[in-house]
Amino acid sequence: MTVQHIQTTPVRPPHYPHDEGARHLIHCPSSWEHYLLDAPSLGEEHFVLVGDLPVRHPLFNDGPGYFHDAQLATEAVTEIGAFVGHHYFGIPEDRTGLIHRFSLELTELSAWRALGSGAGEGAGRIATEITAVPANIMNEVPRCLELRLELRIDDVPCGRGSAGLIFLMPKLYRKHLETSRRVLRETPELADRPDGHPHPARPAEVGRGRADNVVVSEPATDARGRYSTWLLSEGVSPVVVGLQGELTGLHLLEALRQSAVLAAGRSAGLDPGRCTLAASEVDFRAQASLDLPLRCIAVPGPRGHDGHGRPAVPVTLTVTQHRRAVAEARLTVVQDL
Amino acid sequence: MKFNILGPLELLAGPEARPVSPGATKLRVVLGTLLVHANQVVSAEDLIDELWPSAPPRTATTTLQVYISQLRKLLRTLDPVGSRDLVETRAPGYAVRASAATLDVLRFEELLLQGQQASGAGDFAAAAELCGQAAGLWRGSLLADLPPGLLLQQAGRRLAERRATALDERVRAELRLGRHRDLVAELQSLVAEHPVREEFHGHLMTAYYRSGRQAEALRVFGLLRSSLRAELGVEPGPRLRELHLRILRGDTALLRADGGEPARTAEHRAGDGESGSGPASAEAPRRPLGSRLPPADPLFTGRRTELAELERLLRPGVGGGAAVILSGAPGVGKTALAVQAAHRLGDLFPDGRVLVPAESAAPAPGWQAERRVLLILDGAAGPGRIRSLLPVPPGSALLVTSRRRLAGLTGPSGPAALRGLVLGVFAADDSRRLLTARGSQDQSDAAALDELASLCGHLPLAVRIAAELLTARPHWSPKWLARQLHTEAERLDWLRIGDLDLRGRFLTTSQQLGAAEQEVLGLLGLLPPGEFDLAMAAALLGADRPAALRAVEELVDASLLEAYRTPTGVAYRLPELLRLFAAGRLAETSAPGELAAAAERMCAAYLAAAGSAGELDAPVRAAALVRAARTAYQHDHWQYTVRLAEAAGPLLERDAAWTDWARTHRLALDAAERCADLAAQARLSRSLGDLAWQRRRSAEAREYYLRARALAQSVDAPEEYALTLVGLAQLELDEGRLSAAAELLGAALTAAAGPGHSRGRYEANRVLALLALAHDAPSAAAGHFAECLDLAGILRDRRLEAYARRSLRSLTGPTAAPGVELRPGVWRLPPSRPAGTATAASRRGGQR
Repeated sequence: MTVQHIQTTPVRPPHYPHDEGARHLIHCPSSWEHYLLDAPSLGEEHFVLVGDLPVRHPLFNDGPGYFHDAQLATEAVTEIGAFVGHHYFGIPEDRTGLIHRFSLELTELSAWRALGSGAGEGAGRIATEITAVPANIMNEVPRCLELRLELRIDDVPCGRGSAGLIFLMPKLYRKHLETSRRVLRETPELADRPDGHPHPARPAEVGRGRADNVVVSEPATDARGRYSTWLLSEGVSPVVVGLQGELTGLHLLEALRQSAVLAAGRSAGLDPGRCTLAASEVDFRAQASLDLPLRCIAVPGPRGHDGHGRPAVPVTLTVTQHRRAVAEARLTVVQDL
Repeated sequence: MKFNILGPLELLAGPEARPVSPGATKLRVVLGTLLVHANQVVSAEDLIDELWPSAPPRTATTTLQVYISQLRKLLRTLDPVGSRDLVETRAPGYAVRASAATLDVLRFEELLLQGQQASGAGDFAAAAELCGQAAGLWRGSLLADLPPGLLLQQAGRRLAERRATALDERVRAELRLGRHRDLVAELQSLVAEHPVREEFHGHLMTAYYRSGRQAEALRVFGLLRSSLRAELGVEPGPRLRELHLRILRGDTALLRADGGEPARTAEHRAGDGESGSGPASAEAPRRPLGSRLPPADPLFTGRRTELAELERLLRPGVGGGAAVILSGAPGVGKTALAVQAAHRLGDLFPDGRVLVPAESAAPAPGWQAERRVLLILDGAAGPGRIRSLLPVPPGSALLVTSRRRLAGLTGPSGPAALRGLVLGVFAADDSRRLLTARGSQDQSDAAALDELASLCGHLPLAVRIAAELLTARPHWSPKWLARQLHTEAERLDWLRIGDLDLRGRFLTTSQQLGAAEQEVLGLLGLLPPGEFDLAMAAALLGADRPAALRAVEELVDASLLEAYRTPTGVAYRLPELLRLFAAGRLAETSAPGELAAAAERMCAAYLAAAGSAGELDAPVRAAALVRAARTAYQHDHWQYTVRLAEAAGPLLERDAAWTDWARTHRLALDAAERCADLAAQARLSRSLGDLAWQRRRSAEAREYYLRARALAQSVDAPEEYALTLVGLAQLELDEGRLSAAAELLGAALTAAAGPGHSRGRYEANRVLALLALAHDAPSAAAGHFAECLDLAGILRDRRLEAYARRSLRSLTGPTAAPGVELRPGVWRLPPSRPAGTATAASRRGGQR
């Protein structure tokens, strides 16, 4: 099994989180029985996550800020998925929750516009309805969770998506990591390294403002119109890069986003400052680590339009490490009118 | 192995086999194209053009070979013996072998040729029968379920012309047999279908004229002339103009079946004489009735199961003919299904298939021994006319369509027994298929199509209207139309186009009910959408249970109300579109006082059913309570509005149904103000404060809590007062003002110190425990949670008890919880953390 390791387990939290911007997660039980007995559920469970849209997030609020960053939803699923699995489906807490598939479609782009929004209290609220369905149940414990998402910003339905989580037993997970590293070590003939030190892309071209939030290099293009970049980890904000030398989910997803926006801008003239990902489908294929270089190849499709006449470019991306696929993505970059 | 292409493509492995069709469109195109050109070689090049009209792929030839191989495999699966060498490879392409016995289009050509020969020989009875059989083989347009390429389009045009010829020959022959009265309805339909085809107009004029309806005959000519002038700028042809003149002159020769032409056969001479005995006596008893059906509907969609079942029931059994009553709600497509089945069963009823409107004065043709006839009695209101047609002789079948289930109508037992088939609404797939049948809609927007179909209640007539609307107005998208239909008060106004009018159909149906039933139907329109039970109906109608039972069952018999068994008894449901119609009629026809009284009875019943607020598994759905509260408000029943909203509150909170929660409680707050119920205002304000808090709208929550506090104080409601203080304390705690929270909680505990205020003390202890956690004092928190546990026991509230236990456990055991459970099921989580820090301590290899 090949999975990408967007780890979902948080640190031990404070007893009462009174940070600014705290969120509410509400469980809407379809049956009270499991809930009252504190017995794990074996069926579908529904949740709502509600919170303020971030205004000072070091990554999500960096850049022209034309749109709210849709990676909020990715983060929500990453964070909530494992909690829901452990707490409501009785999955032992030593089983690591890993996301192996994620998709998101922005159904109402106007709700994602950050400029000019913020009616009412604060900067607006995002509510994510999450339906969690257990799968591959063994001995009444699910191995996987399928999550469906419906998003609303200030009560306007504006997105839907899904994600697949797999929970690995500790031994299996360790073995998975070891195998992955061994494969990389034992195939030197597949080595794939940049020629020299990669030069970061310009922040404005990837829709960011700060240089330390740029996570892809200046791309090289080939005759077939492919844009090849390297993932950057040196000089990148700790907000993005994990402290343990592992590739974080946010790092990888941000790299995909930046590569797609860069490719759409260069190939079809889209303005990165007014772009967002209208649709994302990401499959995580294998474990990767930051001690070996990661290459991202973006292949932009022809420039078209979405249903409202906005210019849109589909981009297919592959992230590889020593020529082995780490993630594959189909993203649609759309530019607002 | 038999193939049918005069309609959607069908393969039948045997005479009794269920029709099948290859699932893949490309495969159907290959088979359909070969069948249209049966026994001829279709070149690979032509097949490729047919499959990929604009841009064939590079691998087209190979792919075509794969399709041929798959086709042979499919045919082998269906009929291992009969399919051998059915598809031949012959340069420069492929050919399918078929005969009139195995392919309907060849059978059609054969019958038509024989019919024309019989007509030429003056044997009009045989001509009518043969041409009727030929026309009856058509189930829709040629290969109706295939995307037309060049070859299929050409063949489609050619065969449509041949079909019209068959109809023309049959009508011509029947006119010669003097059946002009029977032909009028069918000719009207043919004229509508072929608006500029002069032959059919001529036949209709003749039929009218011979039926003594000269004015209508002349009107037909006038209409045709207008159409031809408008569309083509020409006048009707000389033959029709001459016919027109003959009618104007009152030509009596035209009244004769031969139209004044010399008779050509002995039989014809015998029947055509001036004796006045008419042709009926001349050709009886073996005269075939032919096909007197409306044309098959090219948009007829789905209903595979129902069609199969109906066809099974109509197959004549041993010992007697079949008799079937097809019943269902108005607009459910009974007649369409009956006609479709009749078109498909041409082989079983070679002596005729006839549709007779039950309300028309026209007599149904009588049964005759040894004749195989299918008679459709359409729209029967009662059993009288059906009884006169029972028993059905062997070989024939009677199909009655009726809105009513016609209970109590007994037929003979055994194979000839009267059988019933109840037609329901469309399955979701069928609805989607009909909405896209015209090909103008993008099938990829499946969610919008499904929503549209759902708003139409999957009622075939409503779905058909929506499909016609989308076709007639291509600038409307399914999503846009669905948005319009969301407004309940306007939904029926939208569902109307041309002659199709849903409200009109419902109105006609309801007017056929007695006055009492009409009133009952209207009152049921007051109920919220969804199911209800007899007790609810009795309360609403202000009747005792037996009377209410009779009233609702009468509507069930009339197919206006659905009834089904549930684990607890019997439930009823008024289909949503009918409910909207009934509600509209009620508002139009009832006196305001009666309406308000009925609404009050309904609200009281819902309140009783809901039980006490806060029940975990309330017997009624939250949505129904929300509707009932709204109805109460509309009729100025302020107290009921308040109580119903409060009963719905816990259910709405559980489901995080925030929109309904906010709307209902704001409505109820307004109602409480109107009836000056200060205590209710306090409770509702606090509930709205809870809602705003849950949604992270702190300022709004504070506003509601402060208002609730003032109200609770003014009516001296100490527990309510304590609860508002707890709400305010929770807000202070969230914002990190711990001492302010502590102060409020102390006051709350004091206020709720009295007996009977356990809930207030529970909530105060709950937030005190959270406050202790904020101070990082888990042992103090444990004390408060333990107090909560005791109080939950006193309150006998399992949900609160489970929460207290869970919270205590979380203080001692290991936990992966990223936050704290504030109330049952409501968690407070820290802000979304940047990934680098969120995974900083992540467990590599399962370390913790």
